[in-house]
Amino acid sequence: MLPLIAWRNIWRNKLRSAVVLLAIALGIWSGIFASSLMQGVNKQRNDGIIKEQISHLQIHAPGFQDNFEVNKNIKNPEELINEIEKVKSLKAYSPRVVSGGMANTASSGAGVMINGVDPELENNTIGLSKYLVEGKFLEGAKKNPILIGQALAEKLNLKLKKKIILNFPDKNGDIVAAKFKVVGIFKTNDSRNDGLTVYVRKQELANLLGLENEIHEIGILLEEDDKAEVVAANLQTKFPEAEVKSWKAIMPGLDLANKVAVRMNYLLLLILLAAMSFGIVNTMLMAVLERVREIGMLMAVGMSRRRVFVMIMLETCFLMLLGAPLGMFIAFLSIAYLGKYGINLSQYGEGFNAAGIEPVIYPSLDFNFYLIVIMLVLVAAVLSSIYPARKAISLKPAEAIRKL
Amino acid sequence: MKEIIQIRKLNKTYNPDTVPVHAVRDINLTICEGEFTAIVGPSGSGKSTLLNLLGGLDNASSGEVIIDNTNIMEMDENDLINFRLQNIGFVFQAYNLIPVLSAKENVEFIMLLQDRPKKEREERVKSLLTAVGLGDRLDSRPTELSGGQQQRVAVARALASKPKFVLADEPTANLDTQSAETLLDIMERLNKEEGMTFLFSTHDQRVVNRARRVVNLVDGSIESDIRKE
Ligand SMILES: Nc1ncnc2c1ncn2[C@@H]1O[C@H](COP(=O)(O)OP(=O)(O)O)[C@@H](O)[C@H]1O
Ligand SMILES: [Mg+2]
Repeated sequence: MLPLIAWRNIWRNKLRSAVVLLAIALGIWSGIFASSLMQGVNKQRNDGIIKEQISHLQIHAPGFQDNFEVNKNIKNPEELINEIEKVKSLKAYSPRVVSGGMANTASSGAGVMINGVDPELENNTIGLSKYLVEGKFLEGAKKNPILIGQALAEKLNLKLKKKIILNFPDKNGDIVAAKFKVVGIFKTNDSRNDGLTVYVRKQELANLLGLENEIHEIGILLEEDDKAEVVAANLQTKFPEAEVKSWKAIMPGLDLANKVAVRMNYLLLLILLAAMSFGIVNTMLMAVLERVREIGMLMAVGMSRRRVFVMIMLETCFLMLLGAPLGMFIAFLSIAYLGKYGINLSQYGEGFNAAGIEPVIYPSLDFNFYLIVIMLVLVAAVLSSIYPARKAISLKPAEAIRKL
Repeated sequence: MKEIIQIRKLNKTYNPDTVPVHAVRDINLTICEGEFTAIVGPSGSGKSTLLNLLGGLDNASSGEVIIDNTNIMEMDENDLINFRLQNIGFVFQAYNLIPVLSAKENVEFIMLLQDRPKKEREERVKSLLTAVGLGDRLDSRPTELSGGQQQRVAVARALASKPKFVLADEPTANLDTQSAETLLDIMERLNKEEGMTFLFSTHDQRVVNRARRVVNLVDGSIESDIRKE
């Protein structure tokens, strides 16, 4: 009968209970929703960097990345590519010939990373074509087409169909100069990268470098972020002479940022729950003090302190366990809706692009997070019920009843 | 007759260190099974204090209250609560009932605390509420009952636990004459038919007239103790 009494007691002061329930629901909602925004931004940045820049895995010849030396290359890539195509969670891969060099026009110059790619494979891997703002993806010129970022175009004052000279060392160390024709301009969310990276056809760059079928890099995109480590380890054991890196190794900061964000979310949640608990303690204390005579009577007629304690505890927990799921439900709905349609912040800031953040945020949240919220709520409910319940059992029946 | 309460040299002083109030002084009293006793005296004479001590709701300053060969003044609080549950029925002046429970549930509640089987609880709830004339108000909440009806539910609740005796502190104080008469009729009948021992306090002369034993308190001391018949 205790749960029944506790349940009915909650509704004795309907307005007060309703306010408390709403406050809890609102607190839980805001905690979860803020977390989903943070995780959403993070996930988008993650996805952006992985799917549009670094891929899940990169394979190089050892030491290539130290100074991009032409001769530190992968000699017979066919075998490696065969193996890559067997990877179960493979989404796309792109072999590249890479060289650091200078891009010059009549008026100015800039340092660039030249990526020689197979247009189709490259596009499948880093999805560049959706960021094309002008022209086409390495088409539209018989010889030496080049794709450049908008930032570079502005810096070098370049337009579509203009010529650009690339200077870089070939395999013998001689500086090569080659003329390319701008066939397309792209603009991603990362303007720094847009000013640095250019794309040309793989075979043309290889010829200029004096290479045959050697390549410098393979980018691999998988279906899931989490598979990267395993696949990397597998390929590494099969090709010990190559250097296989997963995205976490390529950009340790990315993984760290994810972990930091999750910690921040928990911290936020803890703060909100603590604040809510204070409110609940206060409310329940009031409820106990209003019922001094009644609780005194209950103990007088033989209700044990343990039972009184449980009764008050149940009332507190009921409040929490009604409000929290309500908040979680609203959070779930709003995250589901906004996760689909997004929150457009483009009118508020220019800063987003520079920070590598897309102006439309899609909140998203791990399902696990909800489970942890449930656990934290349970703990908070029990903790915040202790003080009012102790207060109730500390009453002396004779004194409590005398207040009649 | 069997003695069920023995009070020896009982004293109660409130605020002994600051402004001492000697509410109960050197009381010796024995209550026997089946008695129907009124504790009478003006307001402030110590009736409530005495009944609280008898019911184990408060600690005495000195003296003994022996119920069932046990001095309840020596019990710790948790044991006392259970002792009250198993041995004493209580009726207070007001706020006897749990407002969120119906009449039926209020009476059943005490038996639930005693872990009595469901069947017994249900039968007893019905028969007791019928005995106090509320057989048709089983599902009414206290707020839906009159003051007199609420006190009758309280009497039913007091008897539900099968106590050795019932303590009632001014049970009629908040009632009109008619309701007070009805309540006393019921208590009298339960006393006669079931042999239940009642000990109640009052300062209402009409109620005093119904008692078969009258203990007169003045300033915390027994001035007279009269058995009728
Ligand atoms: N908690 C208390 N603290 C101090 N004095 C009290 C307290 N309770 C009762 N008293 C005093 O003890 C005396 C007896 O009170 P009480 O037992 O309530 O008498 P009655 O029930 O006959 O009216 C009164 O003088 C009252 O003021
Ligand atoms: Mg009194």
